[in-house]
Amino acid sequence: MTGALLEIDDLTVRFGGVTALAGVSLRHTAGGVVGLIGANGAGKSTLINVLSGVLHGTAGTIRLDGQDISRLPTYRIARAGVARTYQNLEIFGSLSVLDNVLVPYRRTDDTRRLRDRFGIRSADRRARGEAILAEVGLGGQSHRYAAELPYGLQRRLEIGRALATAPRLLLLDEPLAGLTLGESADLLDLLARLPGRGVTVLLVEHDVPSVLRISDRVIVLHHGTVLADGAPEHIVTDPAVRAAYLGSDGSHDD
Amino acid sequence: MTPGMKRCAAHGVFAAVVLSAPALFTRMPFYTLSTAVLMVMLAIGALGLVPLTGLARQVSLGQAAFYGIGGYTSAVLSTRYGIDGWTAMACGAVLAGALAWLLGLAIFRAQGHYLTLATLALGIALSALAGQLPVTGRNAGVAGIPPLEAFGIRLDGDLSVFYAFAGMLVLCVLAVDCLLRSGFGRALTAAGDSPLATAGSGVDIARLRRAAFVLAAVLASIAGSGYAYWYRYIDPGIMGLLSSVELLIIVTVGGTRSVWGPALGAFTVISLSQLSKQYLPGTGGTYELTIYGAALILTLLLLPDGLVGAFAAAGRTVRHTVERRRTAATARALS
Amino acid sequence: MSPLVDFTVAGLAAGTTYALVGVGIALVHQVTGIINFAQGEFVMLGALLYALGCEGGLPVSLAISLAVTGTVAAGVAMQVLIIAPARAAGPDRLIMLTIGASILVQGLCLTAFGADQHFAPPFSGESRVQFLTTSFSTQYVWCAVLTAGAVAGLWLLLNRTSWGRMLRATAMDRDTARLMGVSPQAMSLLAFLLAAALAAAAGIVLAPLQPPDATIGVALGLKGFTAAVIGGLGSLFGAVVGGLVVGLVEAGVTGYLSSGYRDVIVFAVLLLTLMLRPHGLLRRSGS
Repeated sequence: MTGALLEIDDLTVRFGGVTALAGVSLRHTAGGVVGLIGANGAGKSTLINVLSGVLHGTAGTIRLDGQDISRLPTYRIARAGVARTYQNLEIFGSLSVLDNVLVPYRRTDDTRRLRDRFGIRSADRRARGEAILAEVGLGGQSHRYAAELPYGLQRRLEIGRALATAPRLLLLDEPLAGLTLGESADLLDLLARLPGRGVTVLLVEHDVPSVLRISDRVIVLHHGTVLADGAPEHIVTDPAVRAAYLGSDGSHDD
Repeated sequence: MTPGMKRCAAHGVFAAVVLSAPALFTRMPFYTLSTAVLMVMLAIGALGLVPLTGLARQVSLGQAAFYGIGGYTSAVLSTRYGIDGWTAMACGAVLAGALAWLLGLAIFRAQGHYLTLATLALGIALSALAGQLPVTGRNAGVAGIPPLEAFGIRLDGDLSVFYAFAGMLVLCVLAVDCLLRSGFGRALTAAGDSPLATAGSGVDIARLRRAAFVLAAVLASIAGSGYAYWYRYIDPGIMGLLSSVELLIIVTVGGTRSVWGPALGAFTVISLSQLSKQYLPGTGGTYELTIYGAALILTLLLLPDGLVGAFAAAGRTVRHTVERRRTAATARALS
Repeated sequence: MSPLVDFTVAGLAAGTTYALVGVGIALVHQVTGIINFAQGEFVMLGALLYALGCEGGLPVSLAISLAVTGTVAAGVAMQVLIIAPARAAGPDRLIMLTIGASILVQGLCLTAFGADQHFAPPFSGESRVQFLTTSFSTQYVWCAVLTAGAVAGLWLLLNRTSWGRMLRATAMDRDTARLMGVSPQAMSLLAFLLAAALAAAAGIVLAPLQPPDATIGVALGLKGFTAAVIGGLGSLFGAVVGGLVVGLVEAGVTGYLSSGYRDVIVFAVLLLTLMLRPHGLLRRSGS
């Protein structure tokens, strides 16, 4: 059972009397984009919150590269290699765009931390920040306050900040929400490039056609359980999924 | 000018203004040298609230408790054990820092705004304790504290104390400014904007807030020690709620998000309080609370970034207007 | 035996006041998310107005109306003039605003009424109740009755009226409640109004037992916080139990140790609770 990046075993989350996740088990080897779809209340956001340590599961375990992270606090999970974005943007509005991507902790920084602490910013650290900003399409914006950026660029900034932690697993919570069609298309191109730099992406998104287009594997959650799991082309034709989810929307069938 | 040069120039101007205060204060109505000393002590005491309350958005009512710890440690060590003043001051700072660290260990583990409650309780409990224990002189306090000595000079006059602590204020402001421009300040600002995303970026928020709390405690303790060696007497009133609120008001009025805020706030608030004592009828001090409360509320509602923020905004408006006029003039000249 | 009974009775009586303060704090915190540092000052205002009314020769009923009206007006004014304009502010600024309101109320009372203590007679004069081997003032009975009445009234309002249902809905989930058409500002106003009324009640029963002056608010407020925190800041009945605990601890320390250590011990209890059980002594951890 070694070699898997992410192993979720019988994960259950209850809030009072409501069961948000009921014994979810998953296993994913590093690489690719994993799409996570399901109707509202299916447990998608809960799963992201538990994976990133914002919530803790009622039962079950989560392993990242074999390390049990199910009880770790958020910052330890982030240091272990799980980064995320937020459905309702959580940018650092009073910091500059560059500073936003310089906040994340990186283990490799430890030797440089002392110098950084006394206000002498190491040039290579800044250069790395600028490189990440260029990668997510924010080149030339680094000295603006993050709060001044338009909404679409703030979404990109969140992705840049997540990448700055050098994650192994990147959790994206509705990254396309609120974007125009053009912005969505550009962002999808960016997301599709991420597996190439060694990041495995878990994508939660309402826009099902987009998910089907860029994912290598799609998981369908339904009432807190895994309804279907497989390649996008199998998911579209899965009768259970069509009945429970895709069919209800009507427009995604062909 | 590069940002670095601007920064150096700003600290230079600040040092010049602070150090020239004695010359001005002795020539102005109702300002005295002892007012200037008090302002400097309070500015040092409130400085730690910039990282803690301004950036990390954690409201502490415990600054006076740490101010009192510094003052009492210095007073007791110097009068009872004859320990050198600067050593006693360092002992007070270590004690205050250690207490803040221990308290922070527990308080910041939980989500929510428990710091305000815990620090308020700490201040009142410590002031009640100082009023009871024989070692702190019970309610009578500790009198006869010897003055500090520096380079063979006894700091026993307002002027010498002023220069010693004004110098310390300038250095502390510089140190805190450097700290806030480093990764630590960046992380504190991030944690104030979004604790969720800061933790999600791998930053241990509890540790970060604890560090800011310890820094605030140490600075307050140094100011408290300075106060004890200047005033030569200390009593439990120094740790009362009013002192803590006073420090909070000073930093709010000055500007919680700027290292210049505490000094500007100390000047403004102490001036207001002296003015009210001088010109309002009635027994001294009954208007002080009303004025403090009103100043705090009005600043929070009207100038969320304090006077420093207001001045900065005014400066931006002036610059923009000038630029717009110049652009318009150029455009006219070209057409 | 007799001192123990005395301390217990005195402790429970003081505890009922702290319970009412704590209930007000918990109510405002639940509905608005604000920790209201001015609650103790409202108790002071209620006690002071009642005592001043009595000293001015008003009959008890009129003195009570004066205290309740004045305190509720102050609570409403605070919400309208200070809290509502800052609706977009973060919790740190809101906390500082309530601190500002607290010292403003204290300062205004000092200016208006001076720093002297004022005296109010017990509701039923000097009559005493015989209990076991000892007797105590009937004012203690009034404390218990009024506290029980106020808490029962609040419970009925919260559970049996549509305003109460809206308050509880806002407390549970502010955003959803707003989507359902419940105005958060109206609920905030209602919460501050009710908290001020509870504070007035606490002040009125306290005044005959402990002659009030303009500076008693801070300590009362902090004891109310201790009560509310012991109860977990979320539960009204938790705050009542917390208030009684604080009163008993305080009376025990005063009786067996020294009244000088009273505040040290009470606030040490608050600190320890915050440090060890931040979600309250009465709540199971993890919730």
